[in-house]
Amino acid sequence: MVLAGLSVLGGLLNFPSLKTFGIWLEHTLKNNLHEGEFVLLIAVISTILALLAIFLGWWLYNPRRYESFWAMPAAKRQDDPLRVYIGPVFEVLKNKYWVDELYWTVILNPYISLSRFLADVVDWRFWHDWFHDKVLAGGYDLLTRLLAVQIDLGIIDGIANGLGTLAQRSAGSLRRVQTGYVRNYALFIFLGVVIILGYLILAGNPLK
Amino acid sequence: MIYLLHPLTLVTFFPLVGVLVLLFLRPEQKNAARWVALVATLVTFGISLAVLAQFNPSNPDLQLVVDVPWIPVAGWEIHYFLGVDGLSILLLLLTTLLAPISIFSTWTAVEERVKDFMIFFLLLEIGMVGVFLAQDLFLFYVFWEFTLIPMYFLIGIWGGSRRMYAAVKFFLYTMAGSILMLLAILWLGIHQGSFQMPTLLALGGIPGNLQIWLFLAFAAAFAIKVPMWPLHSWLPDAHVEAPTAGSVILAGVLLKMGTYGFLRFNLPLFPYAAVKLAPWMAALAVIGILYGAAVSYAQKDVKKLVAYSSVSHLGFVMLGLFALNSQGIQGGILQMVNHGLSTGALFLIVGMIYERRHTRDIDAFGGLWKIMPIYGVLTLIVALSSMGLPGLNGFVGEFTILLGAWGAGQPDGSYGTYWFAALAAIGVILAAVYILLMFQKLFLGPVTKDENRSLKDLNWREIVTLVPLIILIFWIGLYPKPFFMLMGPTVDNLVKAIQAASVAMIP
Repeated sequence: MVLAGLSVLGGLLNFPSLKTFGIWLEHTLKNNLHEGEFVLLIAVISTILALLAIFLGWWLYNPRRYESFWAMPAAKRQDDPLRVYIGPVFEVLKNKYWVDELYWTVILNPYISLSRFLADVVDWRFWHDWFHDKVLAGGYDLLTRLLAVQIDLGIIDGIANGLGTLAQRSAGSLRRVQTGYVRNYALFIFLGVVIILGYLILAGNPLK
Repeated sequence: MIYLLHPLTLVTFFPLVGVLVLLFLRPEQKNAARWVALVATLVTFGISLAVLAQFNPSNPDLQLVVDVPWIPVAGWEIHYFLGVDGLSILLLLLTTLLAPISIFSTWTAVEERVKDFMIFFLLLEIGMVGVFLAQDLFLFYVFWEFTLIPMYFLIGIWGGSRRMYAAVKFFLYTMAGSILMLLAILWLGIHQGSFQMPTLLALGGIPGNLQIWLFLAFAAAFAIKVPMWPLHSWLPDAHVEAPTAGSVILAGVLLKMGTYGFLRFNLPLFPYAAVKLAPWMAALAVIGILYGAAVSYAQKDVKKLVAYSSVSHLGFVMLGLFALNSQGIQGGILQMVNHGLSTGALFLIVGMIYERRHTRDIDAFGGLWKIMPIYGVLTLIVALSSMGLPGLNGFVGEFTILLGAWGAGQPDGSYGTYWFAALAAIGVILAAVYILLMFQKLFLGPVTKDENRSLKDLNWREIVTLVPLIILIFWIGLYPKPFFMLMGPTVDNLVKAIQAASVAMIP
């Protein structure tokens, strides 16, 4: 009822001589559009068509039929009277031209799948979990462990420890030289003198 | 010492008074701590209104300037230099408004270590206000990095179950970009001999190819903060794990620091690069708009949905800014404010239901409209504002941005193609799709879960928290003129300067 009232009002808005609708949004368009003219033929034909439709509707679904239809139990209700006249067209109309189904297959379902794919696979599993957590954070973790364990503990500490071990080992073997016997030291001094003198003699005296 | 009582110094550092008072409270004096923080932020808001009263909207230049040498370095000086103009006045007001609202929202939500929470929150406000007022690059950097510290603790201590992960990620991610910006700041200081924005702008004359590199270094810091696609990976973690007040501030203010950085530094300092890179920035912005909207739609967690919607909304802001014309930039600034109001309110709303049900799973609700009618109505208004319904604030911002992007699509515009505006317009529809889906799943249909039947509607404190935001949502939606007036002259000057500089510049 409300819709009917509003549509009467909507029709009145553009009643010849009022013409409100034709100029309402005119200023939003740059080119001057000329308003539609009132053509008697179109007006008469559309009015006749509308009246015809009202009559047909009343004839098919008049109050008497309506009451008898609802009085019957659901299983025994007769078919919609319109089906007899238009057959397959009735199916098309009954399913609203399958606009809803079309809308779901063409727009809604693909969009839902796309957004789930973007959200779960691309954004979360790939970009958040894999790239940031695994590659960036994990990669850095790996690098630090490589530096800390392999490079720092393995090589750098290895060099320092190696030097220490080297010093210890050489000390251990050199320790045996320090026997505490004067004759040993005298022997080594003597050997040293022989080597130096031998070198000086054989190489020609560089002190000259 | 007169600069200590300068209005901009006061508005920046007044929260410190609150911190000092809080230091003298015992940890168990929870209500006292709350009141101290609330009063401190309310007074700060009052001071920002006083700043607004002294602000002359027809003057395009920096106003209420306080400029004193701070750190003398051989050759160039670092200044304590604050000023406000049309680019920052609205963001200053947004920050100081959201602070008391956030404090008010923690009244019953934060029960642990209330005093510490309030101290960190007040410190955060100092950093945020400082970012919007600093006119010395070094000072700006100090405030910029300073905001990370309190936010790190707010997420790390009072956050959700994965709070440490989120806090560390937030800190490292944003810090990584800032370092590049610091290098660019040092380059400017060394080669141009100054850190002060007006001096740098007057000097100009950075060669074109260098501008590109400096632009990218600054952009690294700002784009992560915005966040621009594909640098948004820190955002869902930080937003979801942060306590409600933290999420409100993150979305409402911290993200704006990124877009504001582009506006304040990248556009005027490197105009040649800005013009040159505008189509690339727009392409990332549009991808962000569509990608953010699509990803939001698939979220199961309400808070995560709102978090991803920020990627989409901030894409609009970036699209407006890099249109490099008056409509685009004005729309961008207004949309920063709009996003702060709408998304701030959405996070408050999510927080309210979380406090009652301790879940944010979108499927755990349904039919709340009948159980919590006041909550439903307020949520509907905020949701419609977020999706850009005409008559509410989001529409004005997005519409102005699209106008600007369309203008930039003309052959002499910064984009040179209408595709960006056209694709962004699809983003408006996709926003409606995920927002309405969220509203439908939460509020409409029958009540399917018994736990929801006994939920209490909002109390007066929660209503008071939301009402100021809703008033502004209607105000901007119905009569945005005063907001545009505040920024108009500065934006016009900026646009002229970019055009002049980019025309004069040969790479």
